[in-house]
Amino acid sequence: MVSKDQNSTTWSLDLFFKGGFKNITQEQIILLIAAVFFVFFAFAVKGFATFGNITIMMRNISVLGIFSIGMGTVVIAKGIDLSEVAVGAMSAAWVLQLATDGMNLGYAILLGVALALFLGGLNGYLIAFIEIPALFATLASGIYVFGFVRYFLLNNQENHFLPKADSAFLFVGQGKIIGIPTPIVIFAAVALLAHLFLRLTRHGRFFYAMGDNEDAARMTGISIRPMKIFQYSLCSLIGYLAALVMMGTTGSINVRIVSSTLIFDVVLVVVLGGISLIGGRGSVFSVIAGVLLVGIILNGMTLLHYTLPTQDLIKGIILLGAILLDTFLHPRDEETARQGDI
Amino acid sequence: MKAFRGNPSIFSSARPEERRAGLEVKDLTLKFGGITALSKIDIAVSTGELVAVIGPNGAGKTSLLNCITGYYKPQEGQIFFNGDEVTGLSTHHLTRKGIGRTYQNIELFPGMTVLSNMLLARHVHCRYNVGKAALFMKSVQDEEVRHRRILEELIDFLEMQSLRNQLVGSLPYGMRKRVELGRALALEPKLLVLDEPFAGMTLEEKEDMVRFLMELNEAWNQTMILVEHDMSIVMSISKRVAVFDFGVKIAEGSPDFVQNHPQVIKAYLGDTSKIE
Repeated sequence: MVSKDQNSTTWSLDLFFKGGFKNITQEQIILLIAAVFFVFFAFAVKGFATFGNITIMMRNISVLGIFSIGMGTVVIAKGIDLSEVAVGAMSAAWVLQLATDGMNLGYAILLGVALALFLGGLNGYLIAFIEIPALFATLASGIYVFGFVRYFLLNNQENHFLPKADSAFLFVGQGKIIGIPTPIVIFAAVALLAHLFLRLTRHGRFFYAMGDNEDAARMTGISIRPMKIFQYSLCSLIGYLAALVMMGTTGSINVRIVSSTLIFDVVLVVVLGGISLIGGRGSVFSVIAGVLLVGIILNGMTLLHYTLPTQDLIKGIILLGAILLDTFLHPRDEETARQGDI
Repeated sequence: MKAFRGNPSIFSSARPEERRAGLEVKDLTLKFGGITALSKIDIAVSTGELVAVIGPNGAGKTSLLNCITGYYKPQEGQIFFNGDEVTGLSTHHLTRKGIGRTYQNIELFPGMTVLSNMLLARHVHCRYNVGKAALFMKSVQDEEVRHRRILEELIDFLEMQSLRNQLVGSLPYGMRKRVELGRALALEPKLLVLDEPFAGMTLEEKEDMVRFLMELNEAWNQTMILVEHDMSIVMSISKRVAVFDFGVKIAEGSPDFVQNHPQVIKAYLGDTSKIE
């Protein structure tokens, strides 16, 4: 179960990289590029390489990181969840609505968990039992979740604020645990748990198996359909947690986040780090590598006063580059092509 | 027959009732829209038998296997396994009941090693929970060691010692077929369902595969049902052969009986009476 296999992608072009570079993995390449950018910004931007800025940077990428771990678990099993941000953010917004209406925040958060699990389970049901491709099912659910929750549960409001009485919750986003900002601690905890789950439990191995070859997984005795419902519920739950951290940071949720490019940043991080869209590859380290690179670049560009369109352009190019690297490292040969697309 | 490649404990220490595999297919009809793939098929396999299903392309052989392994849900008829009705059960349930399978177009995990591929099949038998596994506790370690030992015995049996840590995606076709058989065996199947186990193999690879299947069947009393196109192999290894044509079973009996059956000759060669 802890045997080493191609969970970390092996660089296949031996011709070009002999010796030490032979087994370099995608996450190692990404970490290397992140280090290069870090050194570049450290020299080019005043105030970049300070402890304060690095802490801010880490805190900012924590939410993205938590979202990406949720997405990563689904992509490893050859799915994708484009509704993760919608499910997470709308469930969190509902929590604020319930708290504003006078409910105890603790109960509201539990109800939020139930809503996120229900919506994630519904995604899984559509994908596993109705057999709608994950891409379309979650694209649609992202839209109907936004509409449904906003219209029926949120009184059609856009902005939702944490009631003054519950300001203790801000600890989740603004507090510190032994000097480390809470979001970073939560991100680290989620990453560790996800790592232990994927590496050491058989259910984690089943995720890889399903991503690698679904038919083989079925014949190996894995109950594919319930597992899919589990995967999408887990992803939604992690997305909800990320949204709670986001809510703790600002004390509010604007439901417009659902139609922002956040979900694409999440996909960017996942693919960039080496969790291949063809499934069965990558690990939590891929997410960490991806999120570090994206975090460093976004922070550096902001400090360099790049405008948002310029930042989007650069992000877009990086995403394209990541997908090119993915195609390059995992060529769609007869072996992978047979397994189809997501 | 004497077993001569190790002594896999999943076979040698299993009690006879654990290897019991009675399959009974009754009146099975499978339709895809207006096309009848299988029509009122009756076939039975008893413990220790090696039954072959043959027939021209499109005869419904693989469809039958897909019904037995839960991929297709037949419209009519029943399938019984060890006395229990299993018609329409999903694949993973059937796997747990003891039906293991290999595919015509190998279905393995190409991104994993041979060992990881086989280990996944063992994980169906695991009893520990997620929490214990995440902490990698002693009981989990012991269980993992036990499964690994069983796999090593199977690897010896299938002569794959040198392939253990190779990625399946990098293995030649014939070897992958062997790994697939290994994975099916790791499930401890009572009934082994083989879909064209010899397709695309070299002569040498076929000889190896025949050795494995013969030893499994004769020394370890492994019940098997196989679909195959290579007539020389089918006629030499199977005790009973069922012949399908256009979704209908046209003959069933010993290899000799089937070979001389007029309907079988007609199905394979066309109507020979007109030639004379």
